[in-house]
Amino acid sequence: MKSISLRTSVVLVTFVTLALLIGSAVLQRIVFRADQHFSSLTLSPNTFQAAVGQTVDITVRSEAVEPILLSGFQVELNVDDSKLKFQEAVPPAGWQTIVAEAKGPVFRWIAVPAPDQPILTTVQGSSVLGTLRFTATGDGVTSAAFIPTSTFLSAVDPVAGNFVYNAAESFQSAVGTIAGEGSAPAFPETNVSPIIPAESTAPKFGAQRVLSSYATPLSQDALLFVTLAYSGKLSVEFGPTQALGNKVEVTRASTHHVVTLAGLEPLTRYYYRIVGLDPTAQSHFTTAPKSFVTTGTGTGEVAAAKSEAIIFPSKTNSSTTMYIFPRDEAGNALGEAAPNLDDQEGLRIGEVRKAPGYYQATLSTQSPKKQISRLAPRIGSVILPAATVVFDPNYQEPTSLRPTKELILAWNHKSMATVFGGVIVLFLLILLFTRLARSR
Amino acid sequence: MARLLGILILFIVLGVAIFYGWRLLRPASTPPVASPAIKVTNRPVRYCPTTAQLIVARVVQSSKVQVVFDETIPVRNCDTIPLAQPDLQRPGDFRVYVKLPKARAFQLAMTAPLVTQVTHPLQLGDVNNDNVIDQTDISLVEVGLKTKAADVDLDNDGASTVLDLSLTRLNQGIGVARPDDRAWAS
Repeated sequence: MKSISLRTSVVLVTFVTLALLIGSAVLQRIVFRADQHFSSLTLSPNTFQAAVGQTVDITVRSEAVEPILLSGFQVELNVDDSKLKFQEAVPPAGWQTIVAEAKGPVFRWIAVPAPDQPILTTVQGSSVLGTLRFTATGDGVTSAAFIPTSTFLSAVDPVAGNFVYNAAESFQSAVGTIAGEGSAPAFPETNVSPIIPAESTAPKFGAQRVLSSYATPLSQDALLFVTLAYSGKLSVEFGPTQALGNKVEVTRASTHHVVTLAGLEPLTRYYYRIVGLDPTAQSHFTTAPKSFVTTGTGTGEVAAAKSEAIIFPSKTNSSTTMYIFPRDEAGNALGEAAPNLDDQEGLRIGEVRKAPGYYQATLSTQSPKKQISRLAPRIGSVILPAATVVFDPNYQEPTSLRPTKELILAWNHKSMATVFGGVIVLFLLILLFTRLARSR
Repeated sequence: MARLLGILILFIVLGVAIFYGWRLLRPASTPPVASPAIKVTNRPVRYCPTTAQLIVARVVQSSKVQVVFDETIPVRNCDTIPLAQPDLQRPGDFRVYVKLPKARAFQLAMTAPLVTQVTHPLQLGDVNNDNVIDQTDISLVEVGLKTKAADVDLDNDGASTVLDLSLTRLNQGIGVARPDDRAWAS
C-alpha cells in the first residue's frame, strides 16, 4: 500500500474537520433548531415602599434571552394578606384575565391572549406580563413571593408540533416596607403596555441584557438608571427624534449604571436606547427605543408628591447612592432646595452634594447583618417620598454569564470557540507528531 | 513512519467524529422498535392513557373501507399503541383510526405488512370527549380553572392550570370521524 504523504495527511485532516464542522452546524439546525427556551419571572420593583392606605403596583416581568412563544401565564404568589390587600390585576393590552383571586395568603392570576388576538405572543428580552395592584393595609416589612410549583409560563415549541411546556425557569420575589403614616412614591411602572420586549433584545451570541432602565428627567439633564444582567459596559444613544444622534459612553464595567444625559432642552421629548457589549465582548445588545419628557425650570415651593428619591442600586453589600429630585407642584425640577437626611442607626450617610438639578448622598454600612433601611429626605418641614435600600453582606453582583446547558448544540460563541479551539489543538497535535516522526 | 502517522491521524479524526456524532445524536436517540406500533408524540410527561380506541379498516376501493378491527386496546408505556392485528401483517392498504382520552381522534394511512413504528402528535383538549375541541371545551377549562376542577387537568399534572387551557386553545378543531360514522365512545 502506498504510504500517505504528510501533505496529503494535513489536507485530509483539514477536509474531514471542515466536513465535521459543517455537518455539526447543519445537523444542529435540522435536528435541534428552535428548542424550548426558558424565562426568569421577576416582580418589579424588587424593593418597594408605601404608606398604609396607599396603592402598591407590582409589575410581573419575564426576562428571556431567547424568544418564547407564549400562550398564557399563571402566577401564584404568597402575599401577606394582613399587609397587602389585592385590588386588581391588569393584563397587557390584548390579553384577558381568566382568574384573579386572593384566597388567604395565596394570590392566583391566570391570563391568556384575548379571543380576538393571536393565540401566541412572542416574548423576548424583558417583557411586562402585567401589573398587580394591591392596597397597603398594615405596616411593617412584607413580601410578595412566587410559588414556583404553581407558577407557569405556558409556552409552545412549534418545531415539536406545538408542544406545550412550562417556560418559567427562575423566580425573583419582591420585598417591601409599609409605613404607618406619611407618603410613599408612586412607582414608575404603572402603565401596562402590550407584551413586547420592553428592554433589550436578546443578543444573538450572548446572555447579557438590560434588566431594567428608568429615566428621571430634569429640566436640562436626565439621569438613566440602568441595571444589566451581568457586569458590563454600555452606551446610551439619545436625541429629540427617533433618529437619536447623541451618544454617551460608559467605560466602567458594572451591573448598575447611572448615566447622565446633559444639554437637553426643557419640556422636550427625548428618545433613547441603550447599547452595550456582552461581558465577553463577543456581541452587543440594544434596547427598544424609549422616551421621556424633560421638565421645566422649577420656581415654586417643593412639593413632596411630585418629588422623587431613588436609591440605586437598591440592594448592595456595603455602599450605595441616594439620588434626590426635588420638584415643585408643576413637576418642574428645583435647582435650589438643600435637602437633608436624618441619621439612622447602623447607617452611615455621606454629605448631601448638589448636582445639576438634583442632589446625591452616599449611604453605607459596616454591619455584618442584613439590613433594610428606609430613608426619607427632608427639605425644611417637607418630607419627600422615601426610598428603601437592602444591605446584604453576602450580596455579590453577578459577573459571569449563566452556565448554558448546551455546549455544541447551541451554535453560539462558546460552541464556535470550542469547535475552532478543537481544530487548532488537533492541528498542533498533528504538527507535533509530524515533527517527532521526522526527528526519528 | 508516514503510514503510522497516517493511521494515527485517522484514529484522531475518527475519535473526533465519534465524539461529535455522539454529542449531536444523543438527544435524538430512540430505543429500537420491536414491533409495529403508533407512538404519540407531544405527550405531556404525566399524561398516561391506559387504553385507546383503535379501528383498523382495509381499503377496498379508493374511497371505501371495510372495518376489520374495532376495539379498545391497552396502551404501552403511556404512548405506544401496538399494531399487532393479524390483518395488518397481510399485504394491503389500511386506514388506522385512533382515539385517546381527552384528545382528538386521528387517522393514519398504512400499507401492510407493517414493520416500523409510526409517530403522530397528540392533540389534547377534548374535555367533554365529543371528538371536537371548540369553545365548549375552552369554557369548561376556564370554569375548571376557577373551581380547580380535576376533570380539566388534561396533562394529568395534578392540577388544572394555564397549561391545560393552552392545550385546549391550541388544539381546536374536529377530530377524525369513525369510518362507520358512529360516535366515538366517551
